[in-house]
Amino acid sequence: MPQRPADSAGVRWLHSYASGATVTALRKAGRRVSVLADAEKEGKRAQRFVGKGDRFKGGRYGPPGVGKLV
Amino acid sequence: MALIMNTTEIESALVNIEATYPSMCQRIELPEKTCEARICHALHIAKGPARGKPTILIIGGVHAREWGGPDTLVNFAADLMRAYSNRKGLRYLKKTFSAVDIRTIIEKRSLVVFPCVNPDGVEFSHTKQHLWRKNRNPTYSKGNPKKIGVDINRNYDFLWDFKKYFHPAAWDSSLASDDPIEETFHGPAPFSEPETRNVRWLMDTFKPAIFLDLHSYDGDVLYSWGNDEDQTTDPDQNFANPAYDGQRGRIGDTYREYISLPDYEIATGIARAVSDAMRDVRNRLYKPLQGVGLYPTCGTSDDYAASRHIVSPKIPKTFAFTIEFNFEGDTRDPFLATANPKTLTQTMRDVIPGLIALCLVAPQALYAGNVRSERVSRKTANHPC
Repeated sequence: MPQRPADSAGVRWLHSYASGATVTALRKAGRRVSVLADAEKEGKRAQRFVGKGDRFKGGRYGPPGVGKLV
Repeated sequence: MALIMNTTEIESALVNIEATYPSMCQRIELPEKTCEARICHALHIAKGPARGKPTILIIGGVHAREWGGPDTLVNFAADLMRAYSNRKGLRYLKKTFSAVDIRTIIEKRSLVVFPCVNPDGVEFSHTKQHLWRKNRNPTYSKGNPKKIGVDINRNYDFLWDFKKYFHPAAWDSSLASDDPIEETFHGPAPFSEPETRNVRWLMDTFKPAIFLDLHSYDGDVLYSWGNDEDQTTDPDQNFANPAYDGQRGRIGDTYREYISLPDYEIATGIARAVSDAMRDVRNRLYKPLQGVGLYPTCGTSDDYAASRHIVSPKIPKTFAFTIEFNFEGDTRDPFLATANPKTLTQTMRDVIPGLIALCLVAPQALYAGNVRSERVSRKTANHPC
């Protein structure tokens, strides 16, 4: 996943997925850790937005497209 | 409101598009089944004979957790077909393409769209572990479920053996890994995976002038090269030259990857055209960026596509790109931004104009393919095809 270079103060932020144990270990090692989200919970929530079954019925129907005809 | 398409729906959508527009659209069955025995399909879109037209090959659904890529490509094909058959143009918020633009693509280009390269992984991400990235090949896992899978986008034959070609300081997990537990495990050999062999088959069969791999996230349009910084002055300093083995992949040092100045100008020009079209939608900048600007990589689809003509001079030149859609700040979990139906629709509206622009500028690449301006050392076997 993309990572930013160090900022002007030489501080480097890593965007990462980590277990609770890893977060604890990082904090013990003196790293600053901001927990943005519970990835497990977010993932389960997101999976509800995946289509169920086959909305296109084997090809009888198709995707509507997203552009407007002009 | 759009919901993410599951893998069955992606296939059904392709069936529908082919059945609805048979005179300009053909479904292609890929030769290799996935490890879970799925059969994959691409769409070939071209009205009339494809011969002599610039071919554009676009793939998506490579990294399983990067939701929205397959949906974007399926809707891209659907939009083109719908607009052409109605003799209309297309509008995406503030970006409009005329009916002539659409007709140009359908009648004067040969377009191949492979929406879901990694259906096994995508299915696993949709139903089990949403953050899954690799394919689902269990061969190298020795029974450990955490070690299942190969990173498809580290499995192509471009500097695949990173410990030989890259400086040890560049060996980190974003470059590639030979440990199956890592997300960037590159497999036991180049093209060990059916998914990469399917993409190679499309390249061999259609010989694209332009290749694009759709990923997320970082908000970029990436152009060659991804292994090291570009340079245009020393043709001998190139990926195929063993004199530089063990030196690649460190930013800011003396090794830089050669690209001829004309090719560099064409590659960056095409990336800018794609970026401009995406920005015009709602003023969101997808910045053109050299691939290595994300981080150094090896074994990726875009660098493999761009390197083929250098390794095998009989192969026509391909200009290769990657779009990284969506941005770090979009949601708390950027991979999942597109799970929100509103965001999914908006992402598709951002990206599809870039793909249309890519098709429109394709002749630039075809022209360049006929002008073999670079002088690259080919005396080595660094890159056996």
